[in-house]
Amino acid sequence: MLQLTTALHDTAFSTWLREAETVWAFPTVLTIHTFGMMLLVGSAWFVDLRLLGVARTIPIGPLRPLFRIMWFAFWINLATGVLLFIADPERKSTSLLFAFKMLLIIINLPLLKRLERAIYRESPEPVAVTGSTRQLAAASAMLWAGTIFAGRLLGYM
Amino acid sequence: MADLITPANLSHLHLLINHFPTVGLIIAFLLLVVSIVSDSEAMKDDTMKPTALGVLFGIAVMTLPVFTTGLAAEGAIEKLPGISQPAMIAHEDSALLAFIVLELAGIAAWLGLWRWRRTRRVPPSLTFITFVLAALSLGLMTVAANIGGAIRHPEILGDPKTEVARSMFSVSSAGVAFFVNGPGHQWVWPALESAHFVGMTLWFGVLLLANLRLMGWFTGIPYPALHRMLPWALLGFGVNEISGMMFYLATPKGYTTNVVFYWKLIFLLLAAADLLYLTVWPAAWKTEIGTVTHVRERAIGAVALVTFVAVMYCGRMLPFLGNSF
Repeated sequence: MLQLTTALHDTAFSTWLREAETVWAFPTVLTIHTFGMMLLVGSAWFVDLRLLGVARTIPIGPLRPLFRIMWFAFWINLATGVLLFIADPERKSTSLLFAFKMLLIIINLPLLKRLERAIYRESPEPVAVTGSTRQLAAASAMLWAGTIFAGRLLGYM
Repeated sequence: MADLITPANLSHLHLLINHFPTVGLIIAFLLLVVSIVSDSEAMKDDTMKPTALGVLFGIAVMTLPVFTTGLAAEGAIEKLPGISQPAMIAHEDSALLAFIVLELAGIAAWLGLWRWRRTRRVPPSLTFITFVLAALSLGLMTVAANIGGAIRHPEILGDPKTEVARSMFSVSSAGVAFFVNGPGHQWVWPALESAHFVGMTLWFGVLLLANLRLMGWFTGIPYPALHRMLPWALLGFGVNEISGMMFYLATPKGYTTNVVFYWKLIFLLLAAADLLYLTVWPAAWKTEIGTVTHVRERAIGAVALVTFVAVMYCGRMLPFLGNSF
């Protein structure tokens, strides 16, 4: 495992990502990752807040395209996340904080799927929000907050 | 723009825009007083208060670049002969307290505007709180400005003891810097960074939906419903202003000498203008289910979203594009 990450660390691509004297390497990948984060979690929190009872006059049916935006942003961040891992594989693969961040995401992705299904199961224009949907929304929102904290703190390992 | 970031230009800029929280605040305060009197009769709607609150909100927003260019000006002139060092520190610390109270007044003014959009009336409690905070910040700003004048003109203060007494109305910026960056406080900066990202995501998510609706998407949602969500955007802005000011006070020179920071400030002012637009603009408010928005609303929405990403870009790129850290 360690040999594998060392080999990855020593590839020309990893070295370029990490050390190139250009903003188009590491800084740009990191900025796109941040953009994906605000798009994904910003949309997710908006839906979660509505489900938790904020701004109840917003109809829930038309919010559904937000889930497509979330998944679009998720794929951006998976791609840029892989690049960020390639830039620094030795430390990331041995970091507990990094493992914790991955764990939070792995728990949250199925929650996101379940949340969408729970909201729109009965009708495409749901009016009432059930208690279990609210719990899902609260759990997912908090997991995203934890993911942002863990991700930001990774910069200080 | 990088070659415009010279010490002389930055002190000049500070002296130029410091009229917003001084002269501007006096005008905003008088406008608020007049509006309270004129709107108090048995009228159905408040007509003048929204103008007064909007001006006060604008002054509170503009005071952010005034404060930040102040520390840039300090760096520019601190080594010049005839400069009073104690007056400079007293000015900075009294300005910090005045700034904090003025930002609170700005928040109260915004909440009043937000309520007015829906009910056509500013709740009396919010009017009262805004009035008190505006009066308080005007007094504190007068103290700060007076000490600021003494940096170049120590004769203004006369008795040095008075200077010390006046600077009692202050918040120690050195104290804030110590909290963020002091020995044993290594956890503070990373924690604030995390909060800064959470705040950004929160305001971006809320303003994203509001702007997308005005750009012609999500037509099944009436805009007044999205309007209810706006205080959460203000909360995000608040988290970011507090955490951002703490970074700034901890390492001011990392920011004041970096051109990217000034770009970020400009985009931030535009973002605040968009928040004001989303809060009160009649054409936005009248967007119901299925309403096709005007090309003007679509253009403003598109520019706003680009602006938000630019704020993030400048912040995220600060360590890479300039010489901050």
